[in-house]
Amino acid sequence: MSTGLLASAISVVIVCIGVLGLILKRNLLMKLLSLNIVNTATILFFVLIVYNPGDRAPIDPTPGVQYADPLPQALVLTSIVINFGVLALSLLFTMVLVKRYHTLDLIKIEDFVRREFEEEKS
Amino acid sequence: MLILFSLLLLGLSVAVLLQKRLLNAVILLGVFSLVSSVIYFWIGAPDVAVTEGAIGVAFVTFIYVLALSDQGKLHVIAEEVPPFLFQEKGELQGVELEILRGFAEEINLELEVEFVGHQELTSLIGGRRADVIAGAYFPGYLAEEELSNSKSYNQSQLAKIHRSSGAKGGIGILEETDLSEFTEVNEEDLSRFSSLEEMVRAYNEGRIRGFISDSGRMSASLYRVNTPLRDESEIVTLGEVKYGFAVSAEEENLLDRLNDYLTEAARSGRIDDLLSDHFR
Amino acid sequence: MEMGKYSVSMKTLYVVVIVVLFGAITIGALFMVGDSEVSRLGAVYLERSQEISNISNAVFSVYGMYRFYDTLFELLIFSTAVLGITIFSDLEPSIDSGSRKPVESHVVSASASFLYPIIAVFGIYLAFSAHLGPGGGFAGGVIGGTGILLLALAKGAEETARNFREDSMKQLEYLVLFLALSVAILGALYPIKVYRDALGTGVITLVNISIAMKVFIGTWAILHFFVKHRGEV
Repeated sequence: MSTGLLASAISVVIVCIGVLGLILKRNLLMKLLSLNIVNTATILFFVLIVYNPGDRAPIDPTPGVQYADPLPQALVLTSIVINFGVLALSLLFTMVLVKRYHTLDLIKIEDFVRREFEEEKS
Repeated sequence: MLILFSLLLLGLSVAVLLQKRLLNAVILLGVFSLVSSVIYFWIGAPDVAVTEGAIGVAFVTFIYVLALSDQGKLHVIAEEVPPFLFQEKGELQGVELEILRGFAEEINLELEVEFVGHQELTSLIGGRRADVIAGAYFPGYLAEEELSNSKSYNQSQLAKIHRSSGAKGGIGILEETDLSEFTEVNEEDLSRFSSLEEMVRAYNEGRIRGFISDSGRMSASLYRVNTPLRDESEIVTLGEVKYGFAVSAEEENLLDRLNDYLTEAARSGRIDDLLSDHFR
Repeated sequence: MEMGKYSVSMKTLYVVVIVVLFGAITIGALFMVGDSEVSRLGAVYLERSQEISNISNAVFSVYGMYRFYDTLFELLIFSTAVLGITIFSDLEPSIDSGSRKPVESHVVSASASFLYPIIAVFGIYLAFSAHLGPGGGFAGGVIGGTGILLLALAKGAEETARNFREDSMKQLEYLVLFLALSVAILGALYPIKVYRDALGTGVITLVNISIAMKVFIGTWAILHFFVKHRGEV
């Protein structure tokens, strides 16, 4: 078993921890932080799963030398930037929610929304 | 080495989720990104390492800190009135602090108290720079239509203090205080002051013959009145005031939650305990 | 109390399900997959970038040439996120600029005016030399954004926003998007060899600069929004 595989297994464990945080934490910002951990760990997984010890950066390749696989690197490079944009957007929505409901607690926000909905209906 | 760094990442991710304070969690997340960036460099992915380093360490931390800087806080603005809400040796104290701290904990926000002058209260709450007005507030204290009053937690008297003999000048009162409920006072007789200190000084110097205030402020200000004056003064009760809080009229949700909390605290007897602690 | 018990048992259920699920994935990753090697496509890209003389960064040859459509649509996703932020930025009232002043620090402001040009040049260098070494459009744009971050911290957001005017930034954004799209369409119309021979390294630089500018403008818009609505740090 190679080091890369073992490390990618650890990154799956990190994704698991992030998802647990995403579900169990009630604070909206903590949820976003967990999402961030999941993002980073997923990127790590993609890069690590093709890693072999002794890989060199795929720059100026010459035949006969062992290089890292460029494909997953190129794919995750764009996703890092997109994660940032999406994170900024979700932080903005969190700010809007906090302005309206004065709490970061998701369960209380849900209660409020339900109450507002019922008031509107009746 | 790679396994070691991965285990470090694992530990950091657990540490981020175990933090109680959000700011610590954000900083730890920055460290998490930095370590993952080192791993990318280690395994031959310098492009990913540079991008992750710049975004994960600088930008994400920055926007989290900015988002945290204002939200997750309950901004309370107050006048400093000793038994209610005041500062002593750099520490906030008072019965209202205990109530508001409980409320902030209930709604999962961090309490932030800012002491301001009497005149700034309405402008700050109108400009949405603050959420709650505290500091011995009672309905009618600020004649402002943009405010809604919460339930009260304590009752007291509106009182007039004046010299028993040989005094001239008007009756002092704070600006914006609405006295329409207490018709005994003649409007022309009143002279308005922008702060309690100024009013007490004017009374000390004999420029006014008395002033009207609630008994909480009155007892706080009586300490600043010279002893001879205190002996010569007479206190008349004009009516009842109910101490509470005020929020902006548009913030109905916040008002609901504050009222819920106050009702609950009154029922459980917590408020009575606090009042007997602070007002002996 | 009943409710509390219920939610606690649901929580344990969640934990158990997720741990089992991810445990299965981990075991699969460890034992199902044999010893890893460069994937077939990755090997192809490595080989091809050996053939092409003017691209030596294989990662760039993937996201800049062979899979440029992936990159293009991911840029569009990023633009959409930034667009959402700018729309909300117009809807939400911002705090008045006079009420909060940046912390005056001579060390920070002096080092910022000294460091900012270096950071900017480094970002531009990365963007231009993506096909030769590590870096590329994404890293270049982001590092340019870091320079803006430094300026905003040191000199205040207002002045920084004045230096990088909003309307011209918007027009630049459209221009860059047009550039990226036209490069993509040209690439679809002509075989990549013809196209490369005609333009030489120029087209690579065009791709890089459009990616870098797009990312730079996006990060600038996000920073501008957050600083405008949350005040100075």
